Amino acid sequence: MRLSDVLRDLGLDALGVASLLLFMTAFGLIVWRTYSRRRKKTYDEVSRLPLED
Amino acid sequence: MSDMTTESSVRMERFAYDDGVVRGFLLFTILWGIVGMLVGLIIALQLMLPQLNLAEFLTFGRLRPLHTNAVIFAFAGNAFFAGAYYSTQRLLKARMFSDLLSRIHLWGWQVIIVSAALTLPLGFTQGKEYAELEWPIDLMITLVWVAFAVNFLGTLVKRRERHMYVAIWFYIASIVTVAILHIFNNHLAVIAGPLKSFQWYAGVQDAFIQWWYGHNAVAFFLTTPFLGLMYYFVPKAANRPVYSYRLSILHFWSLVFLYIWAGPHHLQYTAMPAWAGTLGMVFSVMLWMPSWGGMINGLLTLRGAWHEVARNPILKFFVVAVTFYGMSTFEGPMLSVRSVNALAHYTDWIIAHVHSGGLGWNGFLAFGMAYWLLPKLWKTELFSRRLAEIHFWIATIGILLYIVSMYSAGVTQGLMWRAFEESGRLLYPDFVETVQAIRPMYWVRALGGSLYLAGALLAGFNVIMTVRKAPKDLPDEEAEAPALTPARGDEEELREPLPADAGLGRRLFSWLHDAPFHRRWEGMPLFFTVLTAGAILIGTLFEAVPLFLVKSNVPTISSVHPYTPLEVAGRDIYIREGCYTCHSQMVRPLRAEIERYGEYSKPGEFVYDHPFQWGSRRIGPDLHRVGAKYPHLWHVRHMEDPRSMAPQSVMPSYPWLLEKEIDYAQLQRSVNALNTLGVPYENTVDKAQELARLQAAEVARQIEEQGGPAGLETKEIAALVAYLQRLGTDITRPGPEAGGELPPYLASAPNPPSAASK
Repeated sequence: MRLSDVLRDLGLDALGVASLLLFMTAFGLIVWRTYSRRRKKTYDEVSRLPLED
Repeated sequence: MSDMTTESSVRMERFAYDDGVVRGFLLFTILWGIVGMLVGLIIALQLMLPQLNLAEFLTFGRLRPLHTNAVIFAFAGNAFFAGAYYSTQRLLKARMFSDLLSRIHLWGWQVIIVSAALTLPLGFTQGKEYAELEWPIDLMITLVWVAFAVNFLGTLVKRRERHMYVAIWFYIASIVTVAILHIFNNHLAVIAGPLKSFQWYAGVQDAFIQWWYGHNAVAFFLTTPFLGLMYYFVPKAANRPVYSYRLSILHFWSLVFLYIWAGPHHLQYTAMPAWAGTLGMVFSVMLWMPSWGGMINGLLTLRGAWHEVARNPILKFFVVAVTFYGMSTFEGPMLSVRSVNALAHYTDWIIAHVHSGGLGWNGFLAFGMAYWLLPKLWKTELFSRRLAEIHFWIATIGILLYIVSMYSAGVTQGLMWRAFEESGRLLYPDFVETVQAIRPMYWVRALGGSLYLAGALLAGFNVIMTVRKAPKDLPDEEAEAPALTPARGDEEELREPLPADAGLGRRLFSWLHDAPFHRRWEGMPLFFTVLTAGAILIGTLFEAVPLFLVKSNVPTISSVHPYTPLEVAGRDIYIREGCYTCHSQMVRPLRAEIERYGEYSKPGEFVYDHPFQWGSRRIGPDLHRVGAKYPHLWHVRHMEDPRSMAPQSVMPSYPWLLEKEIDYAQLQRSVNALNTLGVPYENTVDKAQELARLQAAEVARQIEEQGGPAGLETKEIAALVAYLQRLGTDITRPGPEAGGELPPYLASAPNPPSAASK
């Protein structure tokens, strides 16, 4: 079976849903990690990098 | 300058930043900014005073691409490079990897700009917006960009600061994505002459690739680089750290992932499949989130420093720049929504939108950065803060006049185009009525543009005077930093030890939450670069693969045939003159458009359009159904002097089309190239010139018969008329299954090509 057949049978609407889920999952993980309290000190430090040169 | 090491308790290394290259880019930023804005003012005036189209090389259609290329790639490009070279060295505590590569980048980019300034007015163009430059210049761009990328990545490798600050991430995303966009939209082409090429893609697929490129040129040439600059220069100018570094991380990853999907929103209601437009629209709306996150982050960086804004012109430029970033990125997603897009597309609303971004966001950030950098780079005081202040105010008033008038013009156009009488007929059936209605707004726009240009001239004067009073000797700034040590392990300290009997779920949770992989990625610049490329490629593949592979996206139409050789020559002239800058070739399936222009455009009608010519703006009417609408002579008279046919027209005159000879050698090369791309000319290829001469003779005979001038059979006008008369007529011709025949001059070859469509 060719890729074009797979895509046709899958239905193009499924692509939109899959892409949205992919983004929301990645986004959720990034928010969860980034806003971890334990990282605050590290990020506060690196945010000052432009002022250190 | 070689690095030197000093002995101390911490191993310190002394080095010097290369500021010469920053000075070079900064001066060219101002120079090309003035040139690009001046050309913008000229073309704005041409829309009101068509007699200002003074010569063949100075028509609106040829100068408009020069304006867009100059302000995007010359002005904004040089500003990005200046800021990136300055901030990268300081953020990474390292001189650039190679002084030679820096100079190749600096001077190579200026050679590209000069090449564009020469070839575009001469009519050498690929006929695709923001991708007009022909293949030799595209090749130069690739080489120079590779030099930039190697230099940048080399600097990352030899850096002394382990953490890559968020500005560097934005620069990486810009470098990688622009390279991918450029290659796929420009280099996949067949060469048809020293300055002529045809894209691989045709019609719907070409439109998709073009707007994937065009939209992301805005995203990754005008947005992400400038966000990198914002994250460095706004904290510097305000002397306080960015409001939220965490928000900047979200801003970065969301933006690079989402932006790439949004391209198809430029093609709502066109022959582009609706599913692609929906994806583009949904992801565009989601872009509100990171864009506004970034804007808030930029503005709140000034918390506690707002009193400084009142007396510091640099901060004023930055505040207004970030505000315009917020406004433009609110408006962009709104315009992607179909119902709004139906009104705004092809109108001057879009011109207002791009100028609020270009003049407000890019322009003001570039000028603010320039004023901040000038004293540091030339080691002297800015010549006049007062002039910088005046620049800010007149440019701000200029932008407001510009965008308010263009919003007004755009909404007026959109509403007039769709207005119906109670009887159901178009209220403004004559397109030129809508052109006349917006002339007052065009004058206000020209005033606004003049003020903005005047501001840029003041900046130029301020730069010259500052440079003149600088010391003659400008040694590179020296710095000192500890050598890069192995990973600090501070992230490892964040991890809480897990009990020995922790289950798989708990271990996975701990790994996802605590494992320092982002920190490690930042320590691996090449891997980080690959990761960024992955984020942007996901969106590309999700949209491009089905569009190219699933045949139902472009249903073929059996009566659609390749252009005849003479029509190919006419199409080349259409592209050369930049007709697409004012005319679309896309009738949307909207009642007002069908009423005005005729049957809506079908995807299958464009399968031989290399490149597609759907356009993005209607200063003049759509042309997709113009074929056979007027007699040949009407087109001849109209091209010779548009006002002889429509007194209120603002179109340039093209009298040279009645004098210049058809370039049959180029015609042959063009047909050969199209045949290579799969356009089924088959055995008519070798007879292209012969067939074209036959058709030109027939067109000229009909023009003469209609009362026009004699002797046009060898002139360019014959080819252009042939092309225009073919436009949009294929679907009214019966296909082979209904006994239809090939168009003349394809069928007149001894062995005509197959009637089957591509």
